[in-house]
Amino acid sequence: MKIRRIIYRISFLCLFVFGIFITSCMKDDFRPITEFNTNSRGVFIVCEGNFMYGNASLSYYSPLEKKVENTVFIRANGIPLGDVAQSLTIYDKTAWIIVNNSGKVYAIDIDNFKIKGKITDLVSPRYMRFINPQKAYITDLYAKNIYVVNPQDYSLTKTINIDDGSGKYYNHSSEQIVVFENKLFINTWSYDNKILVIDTNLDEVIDSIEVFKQPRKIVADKEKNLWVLSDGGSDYSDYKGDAGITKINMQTHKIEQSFVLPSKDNITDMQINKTGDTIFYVNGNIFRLPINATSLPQKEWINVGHKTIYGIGQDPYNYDFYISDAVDYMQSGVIYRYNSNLHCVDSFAVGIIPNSFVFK
Amino acid sequence: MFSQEIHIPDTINLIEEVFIYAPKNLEETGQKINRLDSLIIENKFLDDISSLLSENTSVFIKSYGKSSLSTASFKGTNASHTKLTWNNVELNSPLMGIVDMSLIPVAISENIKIYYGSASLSKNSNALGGLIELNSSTTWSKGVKAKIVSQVASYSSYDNLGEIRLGNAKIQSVTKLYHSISKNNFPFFNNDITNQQIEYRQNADYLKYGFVQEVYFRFNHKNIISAKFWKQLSDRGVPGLTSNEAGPNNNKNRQNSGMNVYATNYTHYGERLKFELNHGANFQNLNYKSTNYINGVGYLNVVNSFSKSNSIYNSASANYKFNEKAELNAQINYNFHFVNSEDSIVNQYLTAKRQEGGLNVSAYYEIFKNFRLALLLRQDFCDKNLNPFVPVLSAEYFFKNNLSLRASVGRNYNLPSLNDLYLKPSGNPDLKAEIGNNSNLGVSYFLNKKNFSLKTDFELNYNKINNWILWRPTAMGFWRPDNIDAVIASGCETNLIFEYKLRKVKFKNIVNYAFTKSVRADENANPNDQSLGKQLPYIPRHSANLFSQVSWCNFFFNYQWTYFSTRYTSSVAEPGVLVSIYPYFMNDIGIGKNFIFKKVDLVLNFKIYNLFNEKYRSVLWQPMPGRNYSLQLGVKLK
Repeated sequence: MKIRRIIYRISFLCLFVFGIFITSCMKDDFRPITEFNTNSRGVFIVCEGNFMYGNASLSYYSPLEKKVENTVFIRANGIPLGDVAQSLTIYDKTAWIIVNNSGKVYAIDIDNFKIKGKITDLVSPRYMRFINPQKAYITDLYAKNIYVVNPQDYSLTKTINIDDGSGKYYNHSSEQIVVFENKLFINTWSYDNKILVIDTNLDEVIDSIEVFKQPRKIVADKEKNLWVLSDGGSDYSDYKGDAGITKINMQTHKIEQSFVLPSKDNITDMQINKTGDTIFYVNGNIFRLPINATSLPQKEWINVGHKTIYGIGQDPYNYDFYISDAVDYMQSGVIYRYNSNLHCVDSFAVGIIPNSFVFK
Repeated sequence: MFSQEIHIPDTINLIEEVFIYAPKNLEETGQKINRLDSLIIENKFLDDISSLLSENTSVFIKSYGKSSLSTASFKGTNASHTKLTWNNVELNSPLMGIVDMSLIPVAISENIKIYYGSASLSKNSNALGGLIELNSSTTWSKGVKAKIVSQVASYSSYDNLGEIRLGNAKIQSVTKLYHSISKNNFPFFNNDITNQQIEYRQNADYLKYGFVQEVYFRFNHKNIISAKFWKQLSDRGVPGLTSNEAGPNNNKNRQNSGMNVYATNYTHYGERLKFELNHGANFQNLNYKSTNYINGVGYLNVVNSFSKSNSIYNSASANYKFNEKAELNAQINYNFHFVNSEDSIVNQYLTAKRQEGGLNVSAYYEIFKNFRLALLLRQDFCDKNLNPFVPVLSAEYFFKNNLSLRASVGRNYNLPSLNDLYLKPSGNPDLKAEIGNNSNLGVSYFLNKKNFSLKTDFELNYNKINNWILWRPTAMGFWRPDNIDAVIASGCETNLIFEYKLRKVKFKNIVNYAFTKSVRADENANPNDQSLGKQLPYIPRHSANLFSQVSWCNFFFNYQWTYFSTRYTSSVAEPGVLVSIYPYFMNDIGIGKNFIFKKVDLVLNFKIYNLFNEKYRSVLWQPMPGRNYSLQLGVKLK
């Protein structure tokens, strides 16, 4: 009798548990839509996220209100941004977000963040640069081509072949773009050491300039020089060398100056101020380099302690300086905003791996 | 005094339902070791090990989809802390440290044992989480037996397996051949892009085939030798994320792999001494390609990596039984690994080798009536260095009425894999071995009655792992491993198996539940780091599963339910659509009938997976199939 009672109880328990199971269900992503209207000036913070995690996001910060809105893309549109948001460029009233490992570029309204259109079928896009409303260039990590697109109808008009076919490595990747007169200067970061020069009338490569290995960032100064920050490749790779900064005359394509960086510690970003006379770069800490300097600064401009600085930017309106801490690259990054006296006036959390600041 | 594990009785059905639970062996004192139920193995015969473990044990499986990469983790540890062996040959790649469970068919073994935590040390080191042991077995009956199982399933999936067993009381041969192919192009609603629509999963197809040949020779009742060989080839697509819009010609990823494994064994069963020699090898190769269509060039690989690993395993072990109350085990082993890998696109090459081995001594003693003690001491070496010394002390007390209480404290370690150390450009040659200090407290109970049996177990566990190896993204664009100070993995696990019979109706239920808290315990110098005390990515706090079978007059009905709580993907376990996956509930059912004839048995089994046609994901942005079906026919020649 005792055993029978046990059986009945267990049977009852089973039926009860079964009842719970069959009413259980999974709730696939619920994504409520938020209506934004941010028509004052602000800063887009591109959070690239982790490769193959699809957790790229876009944050928007209002310096006047000291207010940040995170994940504005998915909140405004109900769909995720994608996998690895590499960069953002603003042209007219549209922000173009290059989503590297999703093979596409989203065009969104800069005030309400709603999608206006998209360019798809790209291999591994990285950066975008406009020449005029009908013509823009998109670089790519693997395509061995630079895309020429018509942003007005989101179409691909042609490609510029940059495959030199000679390299031991996968040449060429293409990264950032600087426009000077009728030329594009493009750095080739991955397993490469070139600055490519492209004629915008011919849409052909007309020159290449060898710099330190893995040129990562480029900017142009007011004296028609191109500044190139190279990370030198990983010391654990077969492709490695000195990290350094190279100054190139954009008219002659000649190297004017080369500086070897003393360490390869966290070389992530380089920016130039609005007046084009001072370079800022990250080499663990943040350094400031006047464009006519004859040597690298001995002392950092901002000591960041144990933070992992991944992106920097200077507000062209008030010269406030922004830095991003990617922390461990697997959690929300933190942004610090400094005024021109280098006092920290605000700090806030954003998405994963904040890589750049784009000022509206 | 020794039972011969491969000398099981001749039965009509090799995997026979067991209705009696026996007390533990002396050598399992204080440890948790589970033998997977034969009914479950039978039910999953054409599946891979990942779904078997996911649905029927507390081992957590992270799966990217059917026949896609699947890794296993025990008790809050990670995939490289789980070791898998087939007839004493380790299947983990020495290069990567992990094993892809989706590539391992259930059909290659008849016995599956799971050693939790320090229980694995009697067999293997480096298994901080646990060890899954797949072993083959045979009967010594005369004649020929054959089995063919075929399955047709949704999305153009076809699975076939053939098995022939022949021999006599002296020699036995077992041959198995299998083949699985699927387009796996299931429809799903893609709401991760602007033009939301029903899409068909692309590039998720797979092909896997192989064979197993085993030969057993029995000199006499005391001396048996065996040789086993397993060969497998596989080829599969690696689908992209749902947000990918690079077009059908870009980001096409494929992986093909090969595996050749052999295992030889000599076992002597003496009156008091059992002696065993094992020699085996595992040769694996893998090619991973990522292809894009480049304008003006055509299809071009952006990744084309080849890796090969060759591992040789040797061990000798002896077990001496002084009497029913005392036993001594000793084992020596020597293994050698040689690996090379290359990526022909970025011209990165790696060649490495590793020698490892060690001595392991364990003693088991019933010190008082019903109170057993066990002590295990293990010292391994790697190349010219001694690995951390490993002691484990366990105890178990058997109360009256089949109740037992056990406890163990011990240490274990895991060496960095060769990729962790030397992969270019991201390897870290300064990595140290992970060292785990673990303790467990468990209680077990079983009950056997005429028409009713029950077995249950509850265990609390605590494992502090120092120098935990964590792969993290870097500013250079690749991920790189580092030691972090400590991770604390703690929690509890419970399971319950009960069976009962009401006239002609049999019920069998197997339930597992685990609570796992696996958190970082290291202080980070960065003041913004919030990861201290947070659950590690992709490890659910709660997991549970249930398998139920009701059978009546050769009809049977199976119900499978699996649950995981929210899994977080960032290092700070924060909620949100982009960084967490909602709880997972899955319901599968099967209905079938056994047809028993004089010379042949037939089994017809119809299964419905994802019964409630739920839209769900197991990994972020990787869709899973809705309701789908399979029809299986098994034929056994007696």
